[in-house]
Amino acid sequence: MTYQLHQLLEASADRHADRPALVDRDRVMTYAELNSAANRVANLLVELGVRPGDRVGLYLQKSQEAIVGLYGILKTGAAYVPIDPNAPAMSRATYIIDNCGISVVVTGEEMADKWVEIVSAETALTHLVVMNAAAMDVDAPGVKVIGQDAIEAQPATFGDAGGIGQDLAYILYTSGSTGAPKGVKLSHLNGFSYVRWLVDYFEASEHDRFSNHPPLHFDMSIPDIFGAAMVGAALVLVPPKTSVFPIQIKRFIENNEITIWYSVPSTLSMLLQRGKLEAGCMPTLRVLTFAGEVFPSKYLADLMRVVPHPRYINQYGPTETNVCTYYEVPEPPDPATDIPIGRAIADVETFVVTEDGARVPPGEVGELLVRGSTVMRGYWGDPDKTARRLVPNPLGVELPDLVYRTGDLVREDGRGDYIFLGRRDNQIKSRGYRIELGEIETALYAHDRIKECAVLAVPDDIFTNKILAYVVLEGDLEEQELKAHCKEKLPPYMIPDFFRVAEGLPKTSTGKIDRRLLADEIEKDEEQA
Amino acid sequence: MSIKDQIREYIAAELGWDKPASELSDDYELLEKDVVDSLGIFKIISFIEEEWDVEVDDDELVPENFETISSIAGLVSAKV
Repeated sequence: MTYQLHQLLEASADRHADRPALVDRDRVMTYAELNSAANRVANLLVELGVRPGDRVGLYLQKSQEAIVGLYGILKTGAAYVPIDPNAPAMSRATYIIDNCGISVVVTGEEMADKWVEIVSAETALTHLVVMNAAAMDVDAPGVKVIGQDAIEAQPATFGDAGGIGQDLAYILYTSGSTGAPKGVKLSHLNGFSYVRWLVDYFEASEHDRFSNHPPLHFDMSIPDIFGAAMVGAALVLVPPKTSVFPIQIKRFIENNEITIWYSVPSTLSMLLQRGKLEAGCMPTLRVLTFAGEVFPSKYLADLMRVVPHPRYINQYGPTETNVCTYYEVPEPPDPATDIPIGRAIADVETFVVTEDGARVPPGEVGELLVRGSTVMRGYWGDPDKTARRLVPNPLGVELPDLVYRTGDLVREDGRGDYIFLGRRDNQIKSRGYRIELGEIETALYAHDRIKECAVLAVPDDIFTNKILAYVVLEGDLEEQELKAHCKEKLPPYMIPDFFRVAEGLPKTSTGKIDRRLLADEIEKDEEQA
Repeated sequence: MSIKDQIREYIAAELGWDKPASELSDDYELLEKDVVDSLGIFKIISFIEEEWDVEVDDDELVPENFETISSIAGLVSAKV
């Protein structure tokens, strides 16, 4: 019986030993090979002292090595913690390593120039395991680099580390409003429940070929990895450069005979506009699914007309819930309407409440709450924040579990599907990434020549939002320096697209920065342009 | 200013480059090193189309044309 995520791989290694499990460009691994490779990593990790309940970092590009490492970590009973390989090492990678007490990091040779920074920080780090190169020296007492040869020397079988479905499987760090990223704790059961729904609803089988490009620290990577493993299907990784070019995406889907493609709407809008899509293209696609931001109806309608054969499925859910609702788009939507986020997936319940916790009648606006087996176990090391988001059911129903407050405002459309309307706070989406504007402001304020700042979202057709920073300076500061400063503090997708230097910022009567007035100004500028 | 220098100035000012423009060499790997991402590609295309009054065809949106400043300049020179 399977109830932990790595058991999905083990079961498929029994049942579908010779079927392709993982495709990374021209490298193909069967289920038997992937399982053996992961067993070797697990044996090594145990030798290095990794025990059930530990956290192990995963610091490399999404690749064959990353997936092998991920399963190796899970097999030991530890949770994997993906660290964005493109984020600044000093501020973000070391923060995560320190924050959740990581002593072993699984990494790749391509990250070598960043190791210097993470080993020099004062953390509990003791070992770097390099998946694809020989051991090398890093100049840091107390940190040892283990090379590929040490992994290969390990036995290809691994026992059962025990544990239950409620144990932590992965921690995903997302943008935090107070300036530091927060770690969302997700259990085997959380991922398992979501994937079980997805496999059933998508009618996935061993003949499918899953693909998506979101990186491992983004929860959109979960269904492809574990959904494929659940049914013995192939997971085909997208080479990083491919996802930047729409035509390459189309060719990639065609050449690799992808049947289930999952991406953010921005990517699909670009594919529509610049992908040279023609009638009959991408014939193997069976399901086209998307999440992470609102898909503009006009683009989705056009896409469905040009590529009519796949099922189109919208998924919704903050990282804290994996995915909690879905909506299958039956036909090209009316461009004047919004695509619903839909209704609850299996084993999940959702309801909408007012600020005082009273149930909202259908058609009225309220906050979406979620309970169910996909809902997280809390934030790592932050019981206060956890208690603010995971709350007793406000409707007064006595239940053993807590409900998650999404902070998302929704309205039910009268047919049982929710429409997403916006946020209760300063969180935005850009290119599918979830961003707290406050975190960018905190990063800007860390510069001693920035006296005041306000970061705003500028709505954009394709990317949902672009980011604009107003700054008030103390003395002189070149835009170049501003950007360099942001790059040191923030991952690439959080760096403002535009900066405006202002003499001062407008204030409300209570002395706060008047964001509404700033937003109105942006709108006026857009109209003039 | 040469085509390469114009592109260099643009990328240094508008995209993920945090050092002086002069340090961005002709063969620096823009995609590999994440100086240019998907949004960046579209910014560069708009810049090229406006600056030189040319059109970048969808077929030309391939990594080979955007890997370095030299390759972007090559794409532009073939059109002007």
